Amino acid sequence: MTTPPTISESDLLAFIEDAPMSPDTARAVERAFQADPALAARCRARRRDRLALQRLTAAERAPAGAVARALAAAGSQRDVLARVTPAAAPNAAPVVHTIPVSRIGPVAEPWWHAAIHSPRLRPALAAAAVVAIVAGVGVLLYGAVSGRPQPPKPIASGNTPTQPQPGPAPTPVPVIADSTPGVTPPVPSPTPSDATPTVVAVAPAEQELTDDRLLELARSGRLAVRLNAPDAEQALRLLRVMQTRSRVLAVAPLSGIERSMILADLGQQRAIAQAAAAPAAPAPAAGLSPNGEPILAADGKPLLRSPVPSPAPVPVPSVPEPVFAEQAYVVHIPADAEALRQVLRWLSVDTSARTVSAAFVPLERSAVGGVAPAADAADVLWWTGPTSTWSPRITVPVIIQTSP
Amino acid sequence: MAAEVVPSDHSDPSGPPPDPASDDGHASDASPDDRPLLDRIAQGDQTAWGPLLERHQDRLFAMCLRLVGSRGAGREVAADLLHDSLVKIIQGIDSFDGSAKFSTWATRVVMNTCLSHLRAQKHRQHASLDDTSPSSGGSQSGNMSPITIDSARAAAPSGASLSREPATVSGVQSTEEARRLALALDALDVEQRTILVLRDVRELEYEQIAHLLGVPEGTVKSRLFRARAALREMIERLPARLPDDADP
Repeated sequence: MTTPPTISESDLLAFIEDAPMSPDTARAVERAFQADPALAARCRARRRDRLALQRLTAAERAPAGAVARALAAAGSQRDVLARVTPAAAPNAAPVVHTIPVSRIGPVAEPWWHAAIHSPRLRPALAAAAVVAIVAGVGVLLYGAVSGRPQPPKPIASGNTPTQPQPGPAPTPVPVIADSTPGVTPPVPSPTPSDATPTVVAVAPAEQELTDDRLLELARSGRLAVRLNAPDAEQALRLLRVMQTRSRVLAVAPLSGIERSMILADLGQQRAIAQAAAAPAAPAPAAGLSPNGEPILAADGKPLLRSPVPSPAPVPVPSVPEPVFAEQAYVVHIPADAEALRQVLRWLSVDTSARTVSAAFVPLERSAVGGVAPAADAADVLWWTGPTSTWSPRITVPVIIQTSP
Repeated sequence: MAAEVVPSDHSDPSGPPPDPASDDGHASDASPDDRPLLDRIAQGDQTAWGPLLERHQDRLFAMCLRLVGSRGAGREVAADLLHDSLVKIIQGIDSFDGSAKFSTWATRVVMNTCLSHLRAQKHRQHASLDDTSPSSGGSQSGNMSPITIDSARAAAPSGASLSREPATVSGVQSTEEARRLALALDALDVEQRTILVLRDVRELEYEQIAHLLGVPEGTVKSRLFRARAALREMIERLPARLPDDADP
């Protein structure tokens, strides 16, 4: 009784991949195929699959310019880091991209350093800190538990306010019983609590956006791009095209609180700009209510009192004009000014039919991180590797606004 | 009488993963001109990058394309991954110590980039099939799900890849075979697809693949055998006639 031929997966794999086999192995495989035609069919099919996959692969070609784009992207990142200008002449000496090592001199020990590290003073300082903390907590708790009411504001005699005053109590003013109109008591100097609240977010000064300024704003997350387009679809098409550019590392939609913060900032800036162009509202006359009627005291006599003094008219937008931003995106690009300028050029289209304009908009506060968020462990630990692997990136939000 | 096939022992007598220092030149991936270019780069000559990368870019792009799949926007994704990989290769050249071949090291960079992308996208090829339950793997044929017309249409490679058929392969039959092959490859799980790509696309030797994956050479052969079986089975499970519309 003949035993069935025994072959291993390695033998079959060698057959499938046309690998060299010993004569004995080749004969064993052939006998196995004769004994099991199904096995032979499967192995021959897998061999055809391998050849077909190799043919499929041989036809593939990398996108044109892939190497050039990669070199440009890698070179710009390296130059930004090392601040080395590449040699212009082809036969110039090769540029060595190294970062100069800074010299750190010895630092004199401060006078308090010895005190806090003294074995005798350290326990005393620690005890004093504990006592101070406990005392502070005790004061806070005492104030909260006792719930002592606030002392009432002093009210001048004969002065009965006709309307409840919102917010902090106004500065007491002298009352003139004489109904002579036009008598205006001396106006006390305005207190900070009486001052009309001004807009906190003031539009940044209109300074020229130099390359250094652009980079500074972008690194701190205070630079955005406002993209004005006839319709959102065209703007999105431009963004998709920009995604294919070599200097653009990624384009992603922006949402959540970051988007809200940027839109609020842009709305504030627009409202401030419009309010500044509007004429200032006239101040109300003395002794008159806002609707022009004289203010009467409890005894029916006109109560002449100066209005709450206000400083010089300041544009106060009650509600920021809504920004018709339909979509917001963030663009991750290398941290250099040229990449920033290129983004603007790529997003600006001026044709006879349509015009899409893009402009840098400095933000008052940082909405997105100036440095691109980490995508993987390598991004987080980039600083632990050699300097040649450092790749700083910046994130710039792009706000699409459509013209109604 | 069926032949008895002895499966490869995973605890291969060949021992632990090979020493990277033993990764010398091989005929199938021989690039004897890489060394002079690498020496120029080491000396600071940045002009050597162009010819070095252009020599490997096609294979590396094919590797990206086969790993992430050619369906839908796969070619664009593969182009982006190739760009990212090339930038990492350029910027990380200092970490290349020369103990292995440059092509092997570059393949590792591309493979890690693609696998990171797949992990980030939570790409699961089995989700494209009828079986919507999460699959733990695909090395065994019993875990594969039937492929229907709809899933085949969704996983069909993009039309752009079909237009790049080699000049030597002509006719509708060859095109159909290429589509089935690409579709079946996309449907494999990441592990099987990776080892097939390393072997057939990148044409690496067993020891090079073993070094990249960090497994013994015997394990590489075993996985490769099973991956080929899975690919063949996936092709046979495809519908007899694929839809003409290759776009998902």
